[in-house]
Amino acid sequence: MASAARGLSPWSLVVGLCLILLLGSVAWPLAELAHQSVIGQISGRPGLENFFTFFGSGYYTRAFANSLLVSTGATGLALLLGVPLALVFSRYQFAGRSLLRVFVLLSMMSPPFIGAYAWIILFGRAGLVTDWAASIGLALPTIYGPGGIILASALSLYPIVFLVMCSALSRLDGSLEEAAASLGRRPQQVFWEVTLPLMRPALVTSATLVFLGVMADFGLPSILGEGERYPVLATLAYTLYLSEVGAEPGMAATTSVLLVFTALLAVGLGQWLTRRVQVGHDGGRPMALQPLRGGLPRAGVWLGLLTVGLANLPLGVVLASSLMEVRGAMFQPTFTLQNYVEAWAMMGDALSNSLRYALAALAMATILGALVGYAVSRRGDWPTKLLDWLVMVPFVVPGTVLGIGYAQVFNEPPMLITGTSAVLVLVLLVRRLPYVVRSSASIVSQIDRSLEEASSSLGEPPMRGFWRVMVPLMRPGILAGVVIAWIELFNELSATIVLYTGATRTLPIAAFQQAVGGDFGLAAAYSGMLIVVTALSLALALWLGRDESESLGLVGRA
Amino acid sequence: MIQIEGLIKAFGSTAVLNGVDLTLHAGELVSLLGPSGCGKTTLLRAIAGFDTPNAGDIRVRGQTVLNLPPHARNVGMVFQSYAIFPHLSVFENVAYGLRARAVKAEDLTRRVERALQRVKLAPLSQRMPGQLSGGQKQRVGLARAIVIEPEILLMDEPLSNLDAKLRVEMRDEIRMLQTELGMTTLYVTHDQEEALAVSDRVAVMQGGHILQIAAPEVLYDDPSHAFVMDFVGGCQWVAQTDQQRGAVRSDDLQISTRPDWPGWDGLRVLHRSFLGPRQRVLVKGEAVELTLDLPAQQAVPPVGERVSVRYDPIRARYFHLETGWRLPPAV
Repeated sequence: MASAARGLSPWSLVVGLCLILLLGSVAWPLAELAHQSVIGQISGRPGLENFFTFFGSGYYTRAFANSLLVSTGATGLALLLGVPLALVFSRYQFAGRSLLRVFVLLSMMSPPFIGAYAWIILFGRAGLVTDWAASIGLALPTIYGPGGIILASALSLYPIVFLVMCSALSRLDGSLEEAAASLGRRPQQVFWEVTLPLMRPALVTSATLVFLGVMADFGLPSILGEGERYPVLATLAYTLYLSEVGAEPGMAATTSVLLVFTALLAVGLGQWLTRRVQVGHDGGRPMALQPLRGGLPRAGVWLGLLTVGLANLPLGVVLASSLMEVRGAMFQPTFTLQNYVEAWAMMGDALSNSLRYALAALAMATILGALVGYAVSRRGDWPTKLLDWLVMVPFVVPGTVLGIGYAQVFNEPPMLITGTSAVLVLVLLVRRLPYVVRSSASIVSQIDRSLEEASSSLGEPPMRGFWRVMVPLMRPGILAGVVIAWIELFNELSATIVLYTGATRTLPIAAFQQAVGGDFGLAAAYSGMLIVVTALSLALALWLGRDESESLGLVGRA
Repeated sequence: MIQIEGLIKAFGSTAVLNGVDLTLHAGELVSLLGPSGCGKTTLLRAIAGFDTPNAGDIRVRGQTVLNLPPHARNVGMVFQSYAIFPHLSVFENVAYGLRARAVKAEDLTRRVERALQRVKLAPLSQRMPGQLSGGQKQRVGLARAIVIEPEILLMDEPLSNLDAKLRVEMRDEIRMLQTELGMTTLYVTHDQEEALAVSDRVAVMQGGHILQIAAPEVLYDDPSHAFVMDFVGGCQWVAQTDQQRGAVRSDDLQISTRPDWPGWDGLRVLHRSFLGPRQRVLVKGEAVELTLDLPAQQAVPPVGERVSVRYDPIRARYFHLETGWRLPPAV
């Protein structure tokens, strides 16, 4: 709004304070990592020594190549799984359609490393399926290494593809396809000539998101890659930073810089691929659902069911095995609560830490996210643009990298907070703030500006008008961002694993530690707790949001 | 009384208002009429305080309001998009401005109910906006703006989202309500018929200037600029020399055989459209194409037929070819 506000408006103050917060908690740690990457690990002199070391070592370059391989592979597989599913879901009416959606969302709920752990219970060296196959003389391909990582990552991230594609398909103007059909093109031709080109931005967006997700993931590749056996950049950075035998912070910083650089390249490539595509939306009529007919759509539904089934298998496996008796590394077919009893006794503060940190971060993310989301959507001045950009940086920066950066800058006065709960809350906040900011900004852009002008012409000053008009209207959007943020906050592993101490251990860390080298029964029980708490909070959110109708009829100015 | 003096506003390098002067007397309705991009909405938004002018002054009762933010200006605004708060009931929408002014509950209820009665919405006070039609929403917008008893009521194309029939009804209602309340009103529209129908005076804007401000009848009969002639009422350019050109209204043209009036022979009827009480006839000659506005009853030769067209020279107005300003009638 080119408002006639005189002097320092309250919004300038909000933007200024958030800018200071993010400069300190995003720009500073990352700048420090960049700085350390150009200080030689061995010589201590400035220069590109670390990068020469990196690319001169077979081990390091292999980690780089591995990262690229599994990220690309998993992105391709996630598209293969997610796109047909979104297409049949958006186009056809079939039995169990709405249930399918619920299960897709369900498979998003648990962090990828829990999926990895479940695949090991089934297909690992002493896995249930592996043993059974061996008993009938069958040797299964290994789940460890690139194949397993690609499969498990794709199965945990295909819901992103599904959601992005569904939302794009629902905004597609149905009359475009009707126009093509009326001009004499057959359905197949319409799909390849009209629908698919219009879907390109959504395809690129979802591919970028999956790529970034796999690239940044720490837990899944450490379990399925067995740590240093099959290193990727994220696990490499972690080991280099925290290795018991001679940590190499300079090389960890260098690895981090390469990780961020690759992620930025992926984002840049995505933007370049969609640089000329402007798909207008609204105005058109959404497509009506058709009855399921024909071989291809049917095959799509079956593929979708298979995908959803496989993707939800880990959830079931973890929950079931958490209730089974464990002897050694073997689950016995006897049901018991023993794992939970033991886990509860050994848990210490993990569960309450997780809840407290996540709730504190969520409260701040909600307030800041709504304010910043509003500001970036309505204001065009350079501090706000800078703020918008800074907020989105953690979206691209892997959690491990941010964690290492925090450990570097917050470990000396005046900012000596490494090892405290404050640093964990801060990293959680910064990592998930983008979710609330984006969902708030997106709903603000749908709200007619003249509502605010009406408010101020009726005599309300800006902040009170914001509270009386914008906050109620933004609620569905804020809530959508908050729900996703909460799931991610509660299940966060990759940043917190770098920053926790004994007293600030969280539940995902406990689950991860037992899964990589500990007790399978405890790992299952901790993972079970994560799943149950996440599911309960989702149910609560759905119940709270049941009245949030989309029928508010927000009038958008074109 | 609202005085606007030398108002200049540019967005980047694009000048939108080029020194606008305008005085609104207490209780009158002035409309700003012009094509899109002429600056009429910008002028309105500058008065409301949403856009800050680069130069010039806006005074209410002799006091400048330029240093006041929008919420301190006490203007009532009615929006093209209605801008009804979708999360508040009809009653709460109208009460919004009174709550901002901390009006006491009893007084507030009384004033809201009276405003709703004035716009004939009293029975719907507990409805949510989603349940209202476009016309009803705009009534809420009107009630919400008048209930705060503003210094000036600003209406930004309030009827352009309504269908044609409702538009005519609503504009009469708005005009009657405005007269009854004696509320100083500035009304933005691009529809010349609407401007003529509702206004005490009409200001025709083009390129960030007010070209003419006058009562509707004067504007129609005695336009001071070629643009005003062209924009308000049907206009046919009938004569052109090196320095000037002349125009008549479409209904001044006649299919005729009178030899003493200026006009054209050897035209052909190209098209005829029936409009109920009137008909429009398009005729074409070698160098001329004219639209005639005739009574529907009048017999017109069929398409393709040869006709001649005449006009009474008294009815022609002449304008300077370059500046567009009105010239005295050619002798």
